[in-house]
Amino acid sequence: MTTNDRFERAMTDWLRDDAVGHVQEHLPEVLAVTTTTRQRPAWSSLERWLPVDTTFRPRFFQTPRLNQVVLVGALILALLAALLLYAGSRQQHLPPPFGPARNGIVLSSGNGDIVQVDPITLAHKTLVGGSTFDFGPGFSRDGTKLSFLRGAPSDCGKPDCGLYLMVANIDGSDVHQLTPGMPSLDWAEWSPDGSRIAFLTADPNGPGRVLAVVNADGSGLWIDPAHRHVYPSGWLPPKGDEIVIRRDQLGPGEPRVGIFAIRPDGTGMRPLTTAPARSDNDYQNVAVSQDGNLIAYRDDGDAGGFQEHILDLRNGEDRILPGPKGQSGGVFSPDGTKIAYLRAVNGDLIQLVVAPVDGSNDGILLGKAAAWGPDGPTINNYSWAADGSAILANYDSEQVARLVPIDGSTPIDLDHGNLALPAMQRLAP
Amino acid sequence: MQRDLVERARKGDHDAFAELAGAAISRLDSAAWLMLRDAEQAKDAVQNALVRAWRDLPTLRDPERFDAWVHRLLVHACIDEARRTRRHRVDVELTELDTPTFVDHESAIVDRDQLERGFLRLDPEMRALIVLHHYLDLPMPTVAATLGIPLGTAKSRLHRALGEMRAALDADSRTRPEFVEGRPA
Repeated sequence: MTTNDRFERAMTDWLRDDAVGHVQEHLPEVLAVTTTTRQRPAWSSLERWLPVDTTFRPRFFQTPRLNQVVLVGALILALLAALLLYAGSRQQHLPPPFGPARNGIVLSSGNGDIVQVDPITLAHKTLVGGSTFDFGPGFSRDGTKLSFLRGAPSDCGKPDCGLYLMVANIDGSDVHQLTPGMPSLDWAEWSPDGSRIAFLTADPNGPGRVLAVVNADGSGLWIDPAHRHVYPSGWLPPKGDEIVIRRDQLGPGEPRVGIFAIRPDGTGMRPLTTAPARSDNDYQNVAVSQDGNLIAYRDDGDAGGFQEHILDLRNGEDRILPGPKGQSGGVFSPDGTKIAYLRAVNGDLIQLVVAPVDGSNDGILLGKAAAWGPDGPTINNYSWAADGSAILANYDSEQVARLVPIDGSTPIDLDHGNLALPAMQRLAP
Repeated sequence: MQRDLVERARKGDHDAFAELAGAAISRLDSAAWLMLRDAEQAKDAVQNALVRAWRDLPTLRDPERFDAWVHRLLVHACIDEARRTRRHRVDVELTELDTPTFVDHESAIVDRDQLERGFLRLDPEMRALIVLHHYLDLPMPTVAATLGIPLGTAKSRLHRALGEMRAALDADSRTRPEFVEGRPA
C-alpha cells in the first residue's frame, strides 16, 4: 500500500467516523414544508427544451445611417411600385423546408406571453397575451404558422394537467388548441410540409416519454406510434417523411440504444447508426444536418469527458470533433458547414462554440460562459439564424433570451423572464 | 421499488415523497455535515435540498437518476450555505487551529484532527468532491454527473483537492513541531 493509498484510506475512515452522530431528526420539519409547497409543473424545466432551427437577418446588427435610410426608402418605394405591377400574378414566395433562408421576425416568450421582439430597438409587441401561460414559440418551416405551448388549467382533477399544443397565424391571430392537456409535453417540430407537428409527451402507460404526432389542423392525434420510449430530434431531410429518434433498449433481446428513423405512423423503423452503442448513455443529444447527410451526437463520456461526434450517413464514417473533452449538444448551421455546441470551460462552466463541421479546427468560443444548473446546462434552447449569422440561446441562469452573432460582435439581449425561449421565422432567400 | 416511488412522487403523491425522503435523509445529513462542519448549516442545506427536490421532482427526466439528482441538489445547497456564512466558518477555523494536534510519522498516517483542518481549508466544491467519492462511495463518473462537470475535470479536481490537503497537512506539521508526538522540536 502506498503513502497515497494510506492517506486516502485514513481520510475515508475519518469521514465515516466523523459522520456518525450527525444525523438530525428533522424529517417531520421537511415534510411539513413540502406538504404546503406546490410542485413545479413538469414543463417548466428549461433543460427539457431541445434546439429548434430558426432564423435571423445579419443586417439587423448594424444601424443604418440617415442618408442610407433615405436612399433605401426611395428604392423600397420604387420596388414596391414595381411589385404592385405584378401583384395578383405571383403566388407568395416561401422558403424551402431545409437549408439557408432569409431571416424573419423574432419571437420570445418571457413570463408567459408570446411576444415579437425587434432586435434593434428591442421593442416588444405582444402577439398572444392574456391570463394563460404561453411559451416555447416555434415556426412552421415555411414561416407562415406559429406553434407554442400553453399551461393547461390545474383543475382537471389530475396531479399534472399538462400542456396544450397551440397553433396560430404568424401575427398571433386564429389561436387554436391542437391537443388536450398532455403531461410532459416537450419539443414540438413542424413537418417540412407543414401538415403535422411531432412532439414528445409522457407515456400514458407508465414512466418515460414517447413520440406523438398531431395534424396541424387538429384532425388527428397519434400517441406513441413507435411503441417505445424515444427522444426525437427532427424530421429527416431532404424528404422529411421520417422522424429521427434516439431509441431506448426495451429489453435484453433488443438492440442497444441507437439512432433510428421512423415514419410518423410508427412503421418502417430503420437504424441510422451501425456501430453498437458504447453503453446505455451513448448516442445522446442527436441533431441532423439540413441536407440529411450528417448526424451529430455526443458519446457516453467514458473516454474522460463527453465528445461530440459527426456521423456521415452516406458512408458510416464516425469522427470526433477536435477540442477539449466536455463537448455536447451540437446543432448544424443551415448550410451544413458549421456546428454550434456547448463546451466545458474553466472547470464547471459551459460556453457556446461554433466550429467547422469538417473538424479542421476546434472552433471559437462565443458569448458568456454560464454554470451548470441542478437540471443541466443553463445555456439551452439554442438554434441557428436561418442565414447562419448568429445563434439564439436561452441563458437560463440570467433568464435572458440572447442573440449571439458568430462574428464575435456584441450579443443582444432580446427578452427577459422565465422561459424566455427565442425563435425566428424563415423567409424565402 | 424506488423508481415506483419516484414516479408516484413526480405525480404529486406526497406519501411517496415522504418515503423517499425518509430513506435518504440520514445519508444527506451526514454528507452535509461533512461538507459544512456545522450542524445548523447542514440541517438548513438538507432541508433546502429536499424541499427543492419535492418542488422540482416533476421536472426530473429520468426516475433512475433520483439519487444522483438529490445529491446534486444537496451539493448546491451546501455550497450556497457555505458561501452565505463564510465569515462564521472562518471564525470556527481559527478556534480549531489552537487545538494541539498529533502526527504519527512512523506509520505515515495523519491524525484525524489534522485531516479535519486540512479538509476545512478546501473550498466547498472540493469538499463536495471528496465527500461524494470517499464517503458516499460514488464512482467518479457518477461524481462527475452529480456535480455536472466532465469526468476528466472531476478527476483532476479530486487529485488537486487531495494534493492541497496533503500540502496543508505538511505545512501544518512543519509550522507547529511542538505538537508533534515523539518528535520534540
